[in-house]
Amino acid sequence: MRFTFSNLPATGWSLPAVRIVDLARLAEDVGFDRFAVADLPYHYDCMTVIAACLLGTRRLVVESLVTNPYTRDPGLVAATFATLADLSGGRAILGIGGGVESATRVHVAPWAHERPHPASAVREAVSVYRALWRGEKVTLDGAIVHVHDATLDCPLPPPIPILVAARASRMLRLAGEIADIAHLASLFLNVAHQRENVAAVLAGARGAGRDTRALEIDASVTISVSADREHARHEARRNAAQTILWIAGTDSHNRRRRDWQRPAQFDVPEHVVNALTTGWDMWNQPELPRALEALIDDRILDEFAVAGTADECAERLREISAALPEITGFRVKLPRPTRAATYQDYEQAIIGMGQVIARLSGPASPEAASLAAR
Amino acid sequence: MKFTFGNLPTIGWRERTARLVDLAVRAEAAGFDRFGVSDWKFYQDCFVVMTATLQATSALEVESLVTEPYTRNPAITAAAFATMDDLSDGRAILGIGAGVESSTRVWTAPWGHERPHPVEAVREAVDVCRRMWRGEEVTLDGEVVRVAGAKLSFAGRPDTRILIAARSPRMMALAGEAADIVHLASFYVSVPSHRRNIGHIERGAERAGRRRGSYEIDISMPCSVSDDGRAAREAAKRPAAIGILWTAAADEYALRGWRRPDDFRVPDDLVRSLSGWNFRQQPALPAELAASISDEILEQFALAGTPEECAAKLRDVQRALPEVTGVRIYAVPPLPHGKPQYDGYVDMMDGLGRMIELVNAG
Repeated sequence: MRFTFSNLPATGWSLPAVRIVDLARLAEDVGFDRFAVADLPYHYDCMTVIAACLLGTRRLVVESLVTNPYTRDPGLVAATFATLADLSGGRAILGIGGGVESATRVHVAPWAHERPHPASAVREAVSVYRALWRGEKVTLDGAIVHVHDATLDCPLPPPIPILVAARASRMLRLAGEIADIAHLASLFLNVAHQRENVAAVLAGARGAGRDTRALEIDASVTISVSADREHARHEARRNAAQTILWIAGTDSHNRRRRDWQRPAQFDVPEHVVNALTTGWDMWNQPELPRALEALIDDRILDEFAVAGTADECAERLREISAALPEITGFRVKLPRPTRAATYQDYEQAIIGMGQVIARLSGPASPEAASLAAR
Repeated sequence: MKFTFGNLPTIGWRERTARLVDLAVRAEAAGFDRFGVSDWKFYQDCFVVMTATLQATSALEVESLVTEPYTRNPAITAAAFATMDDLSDGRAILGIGAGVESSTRVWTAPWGHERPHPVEAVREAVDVCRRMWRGEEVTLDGEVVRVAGAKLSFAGRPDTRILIAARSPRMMALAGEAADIVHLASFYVSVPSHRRNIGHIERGAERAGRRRGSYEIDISMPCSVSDDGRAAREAAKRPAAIGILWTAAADEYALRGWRRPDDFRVPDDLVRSLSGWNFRQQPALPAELAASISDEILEQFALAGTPEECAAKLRDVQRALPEVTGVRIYAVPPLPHGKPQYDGYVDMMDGLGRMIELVNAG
């Protein structure tokens, strides 16, 4: 099982960029395998932060989670990742998605703030990356991606895995078809729902004639760990509320999506969904109001987060893993400390997660063992 | 006098990225103040290389030399430089030009491979970056740059420095008007020509109410230094040939409206022969063309010789052009197999360090 720390910089992150690098080092020390850097427009630049994290660590694999095919020219992104992989001895992963759920969008010709044909856009971008990395001269006039006569002039990189992040069924199938790592971006932990997601990924892979055993499948899980169980569960409610809005398709971005349908297993009471939708702007209001938090009872919380002591979290992850044996990794989304967030909050959250990893995989190193003991 | 080592990766560079970073470390040790990273498309990525060199050094300033406003969204560029600035305690410099002379152009909507309105494009991109670094929410519907509702999600440094690279009079005037560092990109090392260039810069500065001395002026000089002065001069012939083609407007991307300087004395038949050489595709200058560049011509387009000879020439330039505050050394080691090689740059670094020491000692 591989563990990926995610996802900085997050909306609301206000510490210096170098602190992200410090946290990457800590994540490496506590036993994480991978570290994910968000490509939030106008926040600390994803590619720059990835470079700094790769250079600040020794074995951690660092990925974009996720870039998109619209804002940055795919030919240049191929060169960027070739450079990152070359600098780090192959520790870079190119994570890409449709970019349709971003809080901010960059004005890009000719689509302005629209993001049409996301699955085609991702497919085209990935085909450009791979062809350039193979040393081919690429011309593609796609639905979204236009590249003319591009050839990499830098040394060809070591293999760069591609991760495709997906929530909707078309993108899930595409991930199965073309990704090295299919990333299940839904944070809805209902096993039947995730089984459907896995099935869509595997269908895509089989349709492309791929050996499904070679495919990694990462699942996104909000994990909130603390020796103080109630604190851990309180912290997780904000993320649970965010996920409820995504899955219900009622937040400001998902409302505009035509391809999103609530999963059949989604059974959060309508009055809770309505209250969250109308009472909280998750993109601009860091804290979930107390009155809304109270609406998320333990049953609902457990559908959207793993929260509790290290022992409880480890046990829950074991259960998920047993129910979904195709899943090869967890992308750990920490409950974002809000408002009074300090570096120490993040540090504690990562150390707590290290205790969970140690329970599941054993301590990765003497440093991890000593940190897990803290 | 500030010294900038530039400009890798360069055409034909096939070495690993770590070697670029290593050269930055060596440049810092040799006494360079700055390290310029080119934004040649599809070579090693400029911003990643900059980040890596900033991480590996402690005092060296690192600049893009140069990025451009068409291929990379200026609002994303603003965020990238604010990030590098944050990571390096203010050692990143945004160097920008129009990108019209690039070896490869990226197809970009809506212009394809064209690069219209270069001066306006640079002006607009600089405006977007500065406003974002000041914390403003920026919307601009410019001739080239279009940005809507762009605002940094973190505190940028409003005085992050901007270098504008210029060869045309209009771009030089814009640089005088808006740049912290004006970079005269011409390889024509002629005092009268640079005096005219400085005139264009000062006109732009005056227009913006800027006083002389409130901005830096860097000049570009291809430079080959070796204890074997003859070998150094041979190596410098390639960039000198490029400088001749640019100055004669005989290059395929010649600037629109470009006029040969009045004091340009390279014989027409040499210009014609050189124009048959595609320096973007063919790294090495053919031997018969190299042989036709005399020492006298070479001197007008490159700094070449022993460290002592080069230092003396730089001091002459300093005396003749006191407005010039820095020199970008476009290092050109010999190309033993027709390609720029790491070892060549390493070999030259000691000589460059000695040259810098001599110039700084006065």
